[in-house]
Amino acid sequence: MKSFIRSIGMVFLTCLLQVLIFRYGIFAGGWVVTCFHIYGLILLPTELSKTSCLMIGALVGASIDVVLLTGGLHMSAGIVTCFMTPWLTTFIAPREGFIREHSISVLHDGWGRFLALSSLISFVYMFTLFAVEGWKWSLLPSAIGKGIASTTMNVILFAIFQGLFGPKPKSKSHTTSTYHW
Amino acid sequence: MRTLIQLIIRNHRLVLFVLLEMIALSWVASTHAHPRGNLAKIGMEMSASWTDAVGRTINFKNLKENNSSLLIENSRLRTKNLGYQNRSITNTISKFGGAWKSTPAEIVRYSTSFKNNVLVANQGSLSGLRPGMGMLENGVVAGLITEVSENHSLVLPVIHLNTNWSVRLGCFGAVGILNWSGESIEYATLTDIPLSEHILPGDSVITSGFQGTFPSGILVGKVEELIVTEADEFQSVTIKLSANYKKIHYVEFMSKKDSAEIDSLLITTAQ
Repeated sequence: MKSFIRSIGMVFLTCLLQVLIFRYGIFAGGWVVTCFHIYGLILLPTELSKTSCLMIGALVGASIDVVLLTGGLHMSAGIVTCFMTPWLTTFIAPREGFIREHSISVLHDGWGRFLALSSLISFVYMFTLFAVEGWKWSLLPSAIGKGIASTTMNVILFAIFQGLFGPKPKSKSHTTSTYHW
Repeated sequence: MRTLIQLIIRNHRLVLFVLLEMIALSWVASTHAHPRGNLAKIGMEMSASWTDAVGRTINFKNLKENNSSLLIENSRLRTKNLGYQNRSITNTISKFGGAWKSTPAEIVRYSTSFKNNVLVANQGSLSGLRPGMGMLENGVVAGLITEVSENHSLVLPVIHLNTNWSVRLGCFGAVGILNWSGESIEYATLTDIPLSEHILPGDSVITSGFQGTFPSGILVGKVEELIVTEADEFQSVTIKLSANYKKIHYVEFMSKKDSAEIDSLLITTAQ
């Protein structure tokens, strides 16, 4: 439960950062778009029910749409992403599965798994976003290109945040005094 | 039917996904293809209120600075506007119409609960202020400078027992003297109005411009009620003052560029 509340707080925080700061992160003529709120979706607990995940994705997307005036694009992308997230998580999960109340982190799962899951989720999100935005079959190749470019940028951003603010290993230094007072 | 319900329950996640996706795509369609769609309108309204709330939160700390810059801008525009008004009058009535200049300031000390109230503004002689200049609050008459130091000015507001103000009823009405009775800070009394003058509650009371303190036509207040005494040849009028002394903060001081020339003429005549 504690993990779930922390994750919801993280989702809210990432949405806030997206709205206040990262909304301006649009580069290379719209080919690279920053969507920091995906980081909140990545950090959702792995044992979260698929229905809850779907609802959270829809709510996050709708909230971003309302603020950024993107008219349903983020909601659509959020729903598709959160619908696929449980399968994507299973895809990269270790053989024995994730431990209970677990949200992915570099400390527990290593850089490989974190970057793989971030890339998959980001790509699904960004591809859906650009595909729905294009609304034409002929624009799907450019949606894939934009998806890859934006995913690269976003994953770098998530890695930086994970490195700076992610869970840290507990200090191994011995705190007991060597002197026998 | 039961089978259908069981099927929906069994695949509720898929059904929910399709339902939510349909909502999202219809939103996309309404905002991209038909911008006047209801969903788009709701989205726009919500977005506007959200952005407004976020913007207000962000800009709150800049409010004072924004107010000051608005005051300066307002003052500059008023000076320009009065210059244009005088120019048009110059062409038709007088050859030598004087230009008015507005100087913005902030009230830093004030009293409204005494009989002889005073205000202190944060601009003084260094900003070009001098005794005799009129003070406007939100574009309406509020007071008059009596003393200036280098950085501050002492202002007598309309709500001061020892002040008299030359005002006019409407654009072409009679000129009378406005003074404050010392009772309520919202009301003052206009005297010396001939009985022949037809006055109605709600009529505007504006500056006459004869004192040289304000340009003519600046709003002072509105007529609240008439006080007529049978034995008297004049009638009195209770005026509801337009200046809000409870919330007074940002003000402007009016100065006429050729007032020194007019003053020298008056002194010569008096001698």
